[in-house]
Amino acid sequence: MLRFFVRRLLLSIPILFVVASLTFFLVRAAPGDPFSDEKKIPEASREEIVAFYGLDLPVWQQYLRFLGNLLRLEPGYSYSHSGYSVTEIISTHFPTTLAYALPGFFLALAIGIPLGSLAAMRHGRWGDWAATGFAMVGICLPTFVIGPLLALFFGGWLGVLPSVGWITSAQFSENFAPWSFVVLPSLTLAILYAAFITRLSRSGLIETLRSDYIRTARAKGLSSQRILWRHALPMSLLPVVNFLGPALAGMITGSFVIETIFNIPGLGQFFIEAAIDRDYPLLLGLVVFYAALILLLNLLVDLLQAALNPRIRENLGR
Amino acid sequence: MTDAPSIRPTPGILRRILTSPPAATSLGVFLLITALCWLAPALWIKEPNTTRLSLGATAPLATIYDLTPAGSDTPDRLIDETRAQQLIRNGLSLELPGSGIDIANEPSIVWIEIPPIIRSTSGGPIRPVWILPESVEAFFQQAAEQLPEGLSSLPGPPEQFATYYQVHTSPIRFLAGTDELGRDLLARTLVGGRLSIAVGLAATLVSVTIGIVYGGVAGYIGGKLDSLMMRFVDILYALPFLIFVILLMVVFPRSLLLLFLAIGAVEWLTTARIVRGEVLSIKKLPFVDAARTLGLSHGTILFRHILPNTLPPVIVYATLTIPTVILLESVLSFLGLGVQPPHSSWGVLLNEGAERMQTYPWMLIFPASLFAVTLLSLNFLGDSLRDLLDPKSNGR
Repeated sequence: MLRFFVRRLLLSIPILFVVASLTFFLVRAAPGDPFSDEKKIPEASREEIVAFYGLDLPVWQQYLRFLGNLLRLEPGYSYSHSGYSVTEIISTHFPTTLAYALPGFFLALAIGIPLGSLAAMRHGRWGDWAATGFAMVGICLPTFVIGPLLALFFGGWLGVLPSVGWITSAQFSENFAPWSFVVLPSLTLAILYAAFITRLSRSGLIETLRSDYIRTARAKGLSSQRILWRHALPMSLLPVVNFLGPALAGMITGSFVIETIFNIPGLGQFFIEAAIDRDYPLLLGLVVFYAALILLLNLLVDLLQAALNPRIRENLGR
Repeated sequence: MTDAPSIRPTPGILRRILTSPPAATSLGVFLLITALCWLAPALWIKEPNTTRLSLGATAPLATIYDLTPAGSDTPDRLIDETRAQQLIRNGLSLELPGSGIDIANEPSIVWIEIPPIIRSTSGGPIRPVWILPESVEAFFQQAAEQLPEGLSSLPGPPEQFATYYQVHTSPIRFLAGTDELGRDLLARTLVGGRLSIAVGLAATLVSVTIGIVYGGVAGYIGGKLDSLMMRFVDILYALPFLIFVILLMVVFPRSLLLLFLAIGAVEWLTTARIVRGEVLSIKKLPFVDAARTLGLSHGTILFRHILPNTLPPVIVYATLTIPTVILLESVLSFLGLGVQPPHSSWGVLLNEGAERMQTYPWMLIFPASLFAVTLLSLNFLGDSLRDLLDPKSNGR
């Protein structure tokens, strides 16, 4: 297990290197530089700015510099947020994203697994239809429609939750408890993945309940409660666990949309901004950061999978 | 299952879709929407980009009035009742009689537009208003009282700012209402649907093509190259693909072609995996050996004899990719990276609708329902295709 863990960690270093290089050259392949369409800048000051950020060097030198900066975990200073280093931006704003993304993730599991399992147990009856219907709606409506709808309902009509903004925005926080700002973003983020998880756990449990070993358990006279909780449910959740990796990656990119809808000062907004403004250091730094984060999360998911599934565990031991 | 699985699967798929009610219905719904999007605007609907500023956002099927300037007989502008009342109420002439009038019963109405450079004492320009003919004099008296210091009277006779209109009920109705610029929402939604569906189909085609070739080559050659190629797919799987689409859209000049390619370039991974798995099992079958003994080249064997047999699962997956791509396009448009303004797509419309849903709910409801129905039909089609083509689930 430990050997597997260390090997995967080592393997992720070349992957990160490839991602970083790919992004670097992709971004540099674009014509012009970040300061080329700025109007009314005297040519001399433009050259000064370009030289300050090292954009006048040959590309291979910039590339080496970039790799060196990455190794020191300091991809440089942002162009558009002058005075802030990329590391600073990540360390101040990523916790904001985490503050609603983590609850969202658990909320998705907490909605999806019970709903899916319930649907499977009521297979073909109206409970099944309701759960499948919810899953379909969650998949077919984009987040940026669900989000404002929820905000309108809870924030506008019921008035129990702030419909927009974040804990730090003082003008709203007088009337609402700090935690209440987390609810709508996490719920909006959770719904799409709850829908996927509902489908996966439903089909997983239906499949499992049909399998031979469940029939054996039933033949041995085990109570249906025990069969469900001890034998069927854990196995039926394997597809869900498989999906956790893509779900986590999707939730991180989902944060771009959520933060735009609810105007949350999280890292996702910085990514979109950096991409549009061509803020190279911030953009590259964030891509590498996201890639590293997702590789790490995938590794954790794989470990979880091994812990749940004896077959995979045996393979890892070898 | 009574009959043996057919070797040539494609005709079988179509027949099986048509005999299964859920699959046939969802395919029918999707085809109907697609046909509507392409044909309807050409047949009867108004131009999607015609703006009618005097009309503004009109509710679905609201009565519309044609206004003909006095002394002319060609209708000049359109107005709907709620908007007229709103303007009458919002104007300077707050206390004038007749706010909340029923313009259907008014033979004429006056549009007063004083140039915005002339401001009232309360700050801000004097807003354009619709008023009743008998209120005109009172309105100008009130306006004259509120003129700022240094301006004793309006620069010009009041008649210059007032246009008298005859009111007629217009035969025009907007089935889905209009947006704030008075553009027909039905036409916009249908024409926007063309773009969304086209992106969905084209990007899926791109992704499936890449996936089939990549997975086919990996599976056919096998060995070291196969594990290397699949390792690469594993790596890409782990990365948040939206980030790459965003990078591509930002770095290169935005165009529709790029949108297809960018989305296609990140959606091929699963197809590649599926095709590789299929090729691995098919290449062991005797007919491949037969082809090889006949001296066919590897390319011919792979592309003419093996890959066509991998199509059924690919078709299932492709059907499920189309809604994913349509959703992805809408997200990109929401972030301002997708389709650019003169064009519209469902993503653009949904975004506009979501922003204004409190004031003009129909701007969200109509595009969102069509969007949801399209995605629903495709997801449903994909699910039922999977059930139809997967021998394991035949017992259901």
